[in-house]
Amino acid sequence: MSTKRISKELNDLAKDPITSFSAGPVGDDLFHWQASIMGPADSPYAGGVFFLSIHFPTDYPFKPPKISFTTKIYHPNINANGNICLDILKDQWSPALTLSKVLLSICSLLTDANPDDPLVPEIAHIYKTDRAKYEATAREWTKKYAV
Amino acid sequence: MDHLITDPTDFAKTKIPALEQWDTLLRCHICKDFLKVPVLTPCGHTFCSLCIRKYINNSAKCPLCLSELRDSMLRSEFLVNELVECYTNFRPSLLKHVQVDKLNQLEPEVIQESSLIEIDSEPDVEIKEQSLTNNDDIQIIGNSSEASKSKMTTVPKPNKIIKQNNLINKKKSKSTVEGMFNRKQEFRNSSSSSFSHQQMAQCPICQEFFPIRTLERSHLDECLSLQSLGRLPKTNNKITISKTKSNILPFSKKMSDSTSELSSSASKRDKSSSPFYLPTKNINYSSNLTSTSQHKEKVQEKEKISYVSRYVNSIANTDKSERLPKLDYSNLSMQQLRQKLNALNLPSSGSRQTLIERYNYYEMIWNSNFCDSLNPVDESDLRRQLASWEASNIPKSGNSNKNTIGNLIQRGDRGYQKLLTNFKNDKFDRKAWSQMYSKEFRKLINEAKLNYKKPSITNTKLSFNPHDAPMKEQSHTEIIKEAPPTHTNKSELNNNNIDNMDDNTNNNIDESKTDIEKLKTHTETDNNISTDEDFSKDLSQTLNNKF
Repeated sequence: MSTKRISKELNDLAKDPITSFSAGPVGDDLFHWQASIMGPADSPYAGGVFFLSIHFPTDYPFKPPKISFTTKIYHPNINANGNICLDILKDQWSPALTLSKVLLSICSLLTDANPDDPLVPEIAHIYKTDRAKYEATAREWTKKYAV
Repeated sequence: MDHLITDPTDFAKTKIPALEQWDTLLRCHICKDFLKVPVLTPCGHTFCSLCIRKYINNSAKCPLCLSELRDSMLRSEFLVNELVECYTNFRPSLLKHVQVDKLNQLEPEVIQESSLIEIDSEPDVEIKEQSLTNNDDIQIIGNSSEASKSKMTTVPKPNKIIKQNNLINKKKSKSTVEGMFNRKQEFRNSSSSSFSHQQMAQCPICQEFFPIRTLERSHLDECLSLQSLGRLPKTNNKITISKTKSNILPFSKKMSDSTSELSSSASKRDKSSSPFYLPTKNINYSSNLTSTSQHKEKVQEKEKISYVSRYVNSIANTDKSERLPKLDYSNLSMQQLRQKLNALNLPSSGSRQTLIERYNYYEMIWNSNFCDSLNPVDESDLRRQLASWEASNIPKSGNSNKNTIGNLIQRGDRGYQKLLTNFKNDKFDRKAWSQMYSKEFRKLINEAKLNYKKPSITNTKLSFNPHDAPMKEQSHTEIIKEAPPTHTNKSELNNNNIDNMDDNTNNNIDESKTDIEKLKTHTETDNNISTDEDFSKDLSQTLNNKF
């Protein structure tokens, strides 16, 4: 079932591409994908292209896909290993969600960080207290790693 | 249909893009495939029975709205079941027809849905169907431009899915009615100005193809009067026919007239269906369609009856079913667990974990089968399902347990399991497989040789498993590989030319050889790509046959 469902999603993405990101399997392995997200224009990540690696569990869609950033990014909800703190990737996962919806959520997470449930408390602190500094650093990192 | 990956976006670029939504609505949100044995949750969402039961095993909430959900709350939806089956049945032809420039191949859908409406008595579902059909009906007129605007309903909002869709669809249909004239104009413009494939269209009545202009201006008129004069008498709305017969009216007037007549006749047959025919605001086209759908209804009467009667008769099935309870494993000893499994005629060997998984899976398919399914299969069938599931999902532990169901379907040597797991890990060992199935492949070679003499026989008969394309190709290669050297060329030829046997059988051996080379390399890559699910499905199928 999982392969069928994953190929369906791949089909969907191919037929109805979304501008803010692209995704597809790495090589022949349908369970291992790669995705790239364009930094949203209204965020300090604008102009950057961020790569993510995606692993579908064998019991997908009953379990969420594992998604992590491979490009370094300065964000309160994404740590140095690229792990993403996003509820729908954990306990709020639902099989009715699709990868494209998850990636869209990640896009919107880039625009609107969630400093109240941070993965990196230091960044969250700066985000809350000195927004300008946060944005400057994020822009700098984007320039350095994602352009 | 099962082995093809169908997608709602198939309809996105057809003449009726709104079908994309329709197609989506009939799919399970978990497997994204068409609903198989649909069940309704208390929160109003519909899923495949197996999908949702599998999901509930892990987390007891609705995947769409996250409200609490237990499997005892699930109710089967026979109507949706028939809708889906009916739809999947004609979907390929529908797709073909809307792709190959046609005005309206939607009729089957409209008809069959409306026919269901007529019979069924649940008001809620009725309304849903009405709005849906209504919507679709109008979208035909609307054609591509407008329909694409109304894409939003693809993912229903969490709460009260049916009713919301209702509202949305109703709103939509209203708006499309309002914008009808513009669109008609658009449509005309596009048909006259562009030299596109839209220029030809099929007459909904006589099924002949005409340029759209001719069709609109004169042919429909002719055809309708012809129809009223004698083509239609097989239908049951005789009132309509007799009335239209006597009237010779201008096109539009006549059309609207016949619509109202149709709707009245429809309401005579069944009051509940009348609202569907009532939107008489739509003058020319929709009335056309309505009458056409009425007409075609007769044509498809035979098909439709089976679904309808199946739906009507389906209710009784639920009573005799017996639900299998969930077990509290923490309070069960190994002994008790074994007893439970034995009572169900299931193998009771394996580790505690295996037993639990076995019971869980069996409980799931049992309840899905006997509580939800319209056509429950026999217990032995369930056990077979369990066996094939175990073979592919539970890793084999040790080799002492000879009585496990997994062992029963194992083909003597344990290598099979290894191959299967290897395959699941994307390591496909072609040599081992060909060794394992050398007998089958030999048989296929012989068959192929036989078929060589009878050119009319198609490729599929050659293949090891006709359902699976990659498999087919593989078997081809294996045939080639396994064939004794003296026959190699012949069988090569055989495989390649079997399709175009009539033209050139013997004169291009060299060409076919190079083809074979291509095929070989092609197959190798193909095998790697082929989805393991399909593969294991086929495997379990063959295994089941043996079992």
